[in-house]
Amino acid sequence: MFRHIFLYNLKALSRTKEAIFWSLVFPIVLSTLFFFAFGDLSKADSFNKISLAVVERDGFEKDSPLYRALIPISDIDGEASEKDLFTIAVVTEEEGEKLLKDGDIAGYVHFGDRLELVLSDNGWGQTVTKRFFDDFLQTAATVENILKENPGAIREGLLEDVYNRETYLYEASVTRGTSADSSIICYYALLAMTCLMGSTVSVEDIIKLQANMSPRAARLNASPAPKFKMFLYNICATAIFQIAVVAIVLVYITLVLGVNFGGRLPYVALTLLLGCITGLFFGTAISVITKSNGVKYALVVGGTILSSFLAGMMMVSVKHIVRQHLPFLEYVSPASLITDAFYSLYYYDGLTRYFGNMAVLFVLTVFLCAFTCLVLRRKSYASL
Amino acid sequence: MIIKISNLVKRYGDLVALDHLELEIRRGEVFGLLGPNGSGKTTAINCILSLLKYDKGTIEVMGRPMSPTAYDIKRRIGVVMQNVAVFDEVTVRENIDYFCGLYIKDKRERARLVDEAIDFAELGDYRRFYPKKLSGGLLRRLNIACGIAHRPELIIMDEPTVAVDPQSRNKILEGILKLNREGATVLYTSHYMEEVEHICSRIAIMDRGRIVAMGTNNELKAMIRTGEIISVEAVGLTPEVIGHIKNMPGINSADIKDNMLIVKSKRGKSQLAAIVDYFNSRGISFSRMYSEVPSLNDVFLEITGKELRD
Repeated sequence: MFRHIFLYNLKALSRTKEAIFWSLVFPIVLSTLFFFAFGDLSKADSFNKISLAVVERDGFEKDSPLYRALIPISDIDGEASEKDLFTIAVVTEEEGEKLLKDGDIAGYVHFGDRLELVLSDNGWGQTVTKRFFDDFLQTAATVENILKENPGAIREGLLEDVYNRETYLYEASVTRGTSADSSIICYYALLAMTCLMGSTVSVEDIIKLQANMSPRAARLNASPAPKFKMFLYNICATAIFQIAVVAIVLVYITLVLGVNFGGRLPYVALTLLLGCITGLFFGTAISVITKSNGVKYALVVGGTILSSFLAGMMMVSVKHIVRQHLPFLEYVSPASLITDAFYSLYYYDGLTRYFGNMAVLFVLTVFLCAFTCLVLRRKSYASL
Repeated sequence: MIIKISNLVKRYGDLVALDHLELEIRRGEVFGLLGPNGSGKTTAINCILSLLKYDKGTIEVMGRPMSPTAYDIKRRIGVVMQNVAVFDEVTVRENIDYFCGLYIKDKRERARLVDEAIDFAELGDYRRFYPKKLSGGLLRRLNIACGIAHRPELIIMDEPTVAVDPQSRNKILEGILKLNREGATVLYTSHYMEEVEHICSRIAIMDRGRIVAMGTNNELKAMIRTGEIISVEAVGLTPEVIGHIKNMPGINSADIKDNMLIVKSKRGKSQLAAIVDYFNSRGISFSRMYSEVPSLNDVFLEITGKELRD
């Protein structure tokens, strides 16, 4: 009996266009859009060299200490290195003005009797350049003062102290050395949503078994197959279908789109497995409490969207507001638990928080399953 | 008795759908449950199948109390619902196989039964079709095939010919008689009296949740005063003429209906000759005159005061 019902349900599901579209095609299309939309997000974090120009003055500029200080940290005449801060072009004053006007450079430098830095409007390139020049001039003035007032201090190492730059910021990674990529969070959210999409598929497992929902369900209830067993066999097939769908989406994201989930792919897979089952019972639990098909679907879709909203899929700030003011909602919202499990994999080195989320998700799943069985076990109906 | 219903009461709020229903169906018969829409036929069937809760009474099927968990009894019953109850995502053959598989475990036996059901419903050319591609008549035949494929002892059919073309209807009715000849007991509900008259060995007429009459076709017709219905199409049927006919001996009633004079006579001697003589004596010419025995509709009309199709 199990094999018979299981295989037919699987066959029927694989031929249901709506289920295929919403569970498989939609997440794949969405992840592809993410790939193109957010593909450059991580590049935004990378450093772009600041373009500067130096006004040529018969080679005089090359004798300037500032010019010599710029050479090791600048790409001049194609001698580039990864550590370069500036890209410098040697130009005439007219060319410099034109480049500045066209926005091609952050500013240009005059090495004359008096050092002159001409910058365009505000910008981080301009700020960095000004900060660099101020720092250089301040240091040069300090050294000049020391040489003039107290030359003996050089022997005591004062010059090294002046050159020394103490950093008071410490950069630490809590993600086992993996570089942070904010676009991965979007893919996590997408995978959580795909898990919950299973709820729309599992609604049909309830509809097809409640005798008051359709003639087909009445016929099944009149058969010698116990309703509870039929439900379990059907939900097994739906779970396999949903897990297969999520696995395809995961393979597509990792292998085709090349998204790297780090070394935590097994935990991601485990989360998806439990997330799929939670999604299915989320759908069944909601759909057993109402008779109308339309209301069932409305509640399941609405519930999925609400859960996703509370999880911060649409606005990250909502997640923080919920955590601050209505923390219990995080424990009953499947999307919140799934995404939080993903986030904890992403942000934390340890797995304590991850397994905490998984435990709550498991308890929620057991509760939803028990509730479904309790309501569904009703043997006959007051009206059909 | 294959089905025995005693004192069954089912209420929907203030509406009494089944009012102390008493019914016994014998093994091997085609039993017709006839009544207008809303008379309680489908409610009675849903109670027999334990799909519906009821307020009072007992139901025994195959000598044992029927309940939602009486799986061994359910295994011996086939159900054909009023509305088509199949899966749209699987083919004709797969649908029959699916429902048959809920009753029959052995794969080989199931395959044989499914093929027989396909032949029975004459769906051989459509076995790979999806239900959405079938016409209304073919869908009804598929619906029946899904209900009878496992060769049940008791087949419950709830208005299986609603919205079916005459050709498919005849095939369905012939099929039901064939199943009965092969040993199945059939409980057949309909509001089409011609169907019930044609296939049922015993008939119960239902109205407002009660059995108002029960017996064979002839027994039911013998319950009423009318023995003959004479219809006359004529010119000059004045109220005086109709009054004279009403007062003739052996006549129950005479009324104009749809431009026809309908005369209902008492059981016994035919009054056709007497009416022809009266028309000739008065010089009234008539274009058509014919005599019929009463139908189940007349039985229903005389007992309840309303038409079956009201």
